[in-house]
Amino acid sequence: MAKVLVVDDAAFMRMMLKNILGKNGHQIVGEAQNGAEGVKKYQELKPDVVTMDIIMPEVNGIEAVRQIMAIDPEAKIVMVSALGQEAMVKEALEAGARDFIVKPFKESKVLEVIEKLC
Amino acid sequence: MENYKDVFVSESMEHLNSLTQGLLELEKGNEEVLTEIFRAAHTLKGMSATMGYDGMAKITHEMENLLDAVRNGEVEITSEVIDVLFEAVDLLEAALNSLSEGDDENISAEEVSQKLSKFVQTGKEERATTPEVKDEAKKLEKGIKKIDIELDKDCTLKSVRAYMAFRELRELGEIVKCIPDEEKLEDGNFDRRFSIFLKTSAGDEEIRKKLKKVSELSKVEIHYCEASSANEGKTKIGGDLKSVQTVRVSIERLDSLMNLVGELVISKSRLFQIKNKYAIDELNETLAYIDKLTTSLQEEVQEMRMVEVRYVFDRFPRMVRDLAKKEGKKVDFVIEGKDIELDRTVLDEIGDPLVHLLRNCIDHGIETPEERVKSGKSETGKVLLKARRVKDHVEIIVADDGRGIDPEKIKRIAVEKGLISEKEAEKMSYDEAKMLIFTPGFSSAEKVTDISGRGVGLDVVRNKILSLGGTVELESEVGKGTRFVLKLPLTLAITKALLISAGGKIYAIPLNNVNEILNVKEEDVSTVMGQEVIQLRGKILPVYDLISILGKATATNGGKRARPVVIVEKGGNLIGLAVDELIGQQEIVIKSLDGMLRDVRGFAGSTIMGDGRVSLILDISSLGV
Repeated sequence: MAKVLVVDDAAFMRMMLKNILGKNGHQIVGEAQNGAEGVKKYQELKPDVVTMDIIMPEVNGIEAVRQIMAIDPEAKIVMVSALGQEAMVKEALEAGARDFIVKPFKESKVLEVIEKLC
Repeated sequence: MENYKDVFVSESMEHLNSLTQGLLELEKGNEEVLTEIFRAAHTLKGMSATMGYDGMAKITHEMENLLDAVRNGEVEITSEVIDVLFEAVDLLEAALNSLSEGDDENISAEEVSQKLSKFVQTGKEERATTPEVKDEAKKLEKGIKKIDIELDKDCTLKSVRAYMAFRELRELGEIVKCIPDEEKLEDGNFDRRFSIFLKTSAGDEEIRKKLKKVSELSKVEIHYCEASSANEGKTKIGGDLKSVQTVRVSIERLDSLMNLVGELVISKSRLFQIKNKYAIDELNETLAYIDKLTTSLQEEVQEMRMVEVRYVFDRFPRMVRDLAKKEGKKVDFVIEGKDIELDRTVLDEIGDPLVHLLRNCIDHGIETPEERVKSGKSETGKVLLKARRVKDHVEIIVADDGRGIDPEKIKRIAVEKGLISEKEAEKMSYDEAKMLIFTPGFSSAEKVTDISGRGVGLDVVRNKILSLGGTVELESEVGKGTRFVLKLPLTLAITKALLISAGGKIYAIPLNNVNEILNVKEEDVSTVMGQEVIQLRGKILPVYDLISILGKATATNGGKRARPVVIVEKGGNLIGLAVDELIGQQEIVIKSLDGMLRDVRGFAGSTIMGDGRVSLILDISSLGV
């Protein structure tokens, strides 16, 4: 079981993730709507895994990864990407993200990625 | 089998070349090339055995054995080992040459094979008495592994997954190749499978563990790569990345293609003339397009005929090594600009002149180690062979840091050989004296060695270069060294020429020979000792009537009337050629004179004009003035 922080600006996406993870025994310890909030929550909650949307208002996902990695180099962040965002995913991986999942997601994929990290 | 012979010969030559290069490197102590040499020998063995050339197969087999023993540390690389390997390479080359002339291999493989196997034998015996632990080191050597990876069926951002796999594997070693190429992987332009060639010392488990971190990989397979196939992979990297594919085409085909393009160029100018004659405007556009197309076609064919100078240069390190060894001299041979390209015909012709110049450097230029130390130089002499592109021609420089050309010695020899008189010698400047070495009959080697001084002097070199439309320059300083600079045109087949008329005929003068054109009035011409001369910027230069030096009647020639004079360089001096009329500049296709006309002096060939008439191309260097 992992403690997960979900960072996404769309409530719908957060809900989807929460459902998938929740019913498979993971615990959603917090949610954030943008990068800045995500960084703040990370410091407060110290989750095992963070799911991070890329395109978000104010501080985007890549920037948030950089900030979190600066605070905790061991942080496990999974990017949530849409099709066609290859370049940005790569950038996020360079910045320290561990893995990624692609929207629209399949339950099995999300679980595979999260469980691999724990 | 006969069909494969040409391919066999040309490919084997390439392998021999890399063998030679590799052996030279090996002698210098670079053991990294061993794998490559081994592979070349191995490939040759396979090829010659397939073709049924038993002699070659036997030699390469023994070479392979010896190289393998060297690789395993059973035999040490000594100068003797290298010598025997070279001996084997020589025999193989002889066999190939004989094969390419339609003969059998014509070699006896026995002697060399025995020599080769003797090294292996003694090596093994020594090893048996003194067991070594070199095997350990061998095991640690990095091998190459081929890792086949398959992505999940529903993986969406394939390129990023591939990228992650790359990233993980890079931590374990060097990625030498991937299939498909990196570009395709980056664009996600591949099926679910890809392969990575990793040069690593890591074990399979370690690799698997790394790749476990990457999601959506449905299959990972690790294979050991034979040294050879990995290397093949390596050589392909460049090719794959640029996705350049090559086809072997025999040079005759390119020659004939060039010839056809030449004919096309001629027909094109014929069309232009017809258009002008009948003033057909509708033709303009089409003709302009045809003009553009033929020009591109011509450039393309020309490009195809360009060959890197390495094909000639690469055979020199071996030669220089052998010569230096024989002469007891120490030489550091540096080659630069191997990737410069020249037309194949030009390249074919400069091989011998370069051999001659390099032999000169080592025979006459570089001193013995003792001599060098005495004069305060380092023991090892330097010989430089360099090609570089300068505007529309290529310069090839052959330089050494040896004793330089001693003008007094040159003069003395020239006087002894009766080439000049004592008086002339006294008056000669340094520059003039050193040019004496280009005089026919001059060879300063005091005794005939088999290195240089074989009756062909530097005059042959110079004439060859001049006949190619090039020039030779010589710089030398006593005690410091000598430097030959050959300037060569990029191509021979199609060239720009100045068309002139003289005595009612049109002649072409290659534009690279033309220095300038003057309109000389009657009063500008004066006569000095029976020779008509003009002054050009304070210099006096002789003017010859073109028709009379071509041996035609000069009855119509008034001598001193105003006429155009073409200034050309001949043998380092400027001369003027008086003609009747300047016609203009044009691209011409050179057709060589052969058969009975081959030895006619003064002409480099002929060309066909747009109107179908034939014009002769002047060869300034052999013009009899």
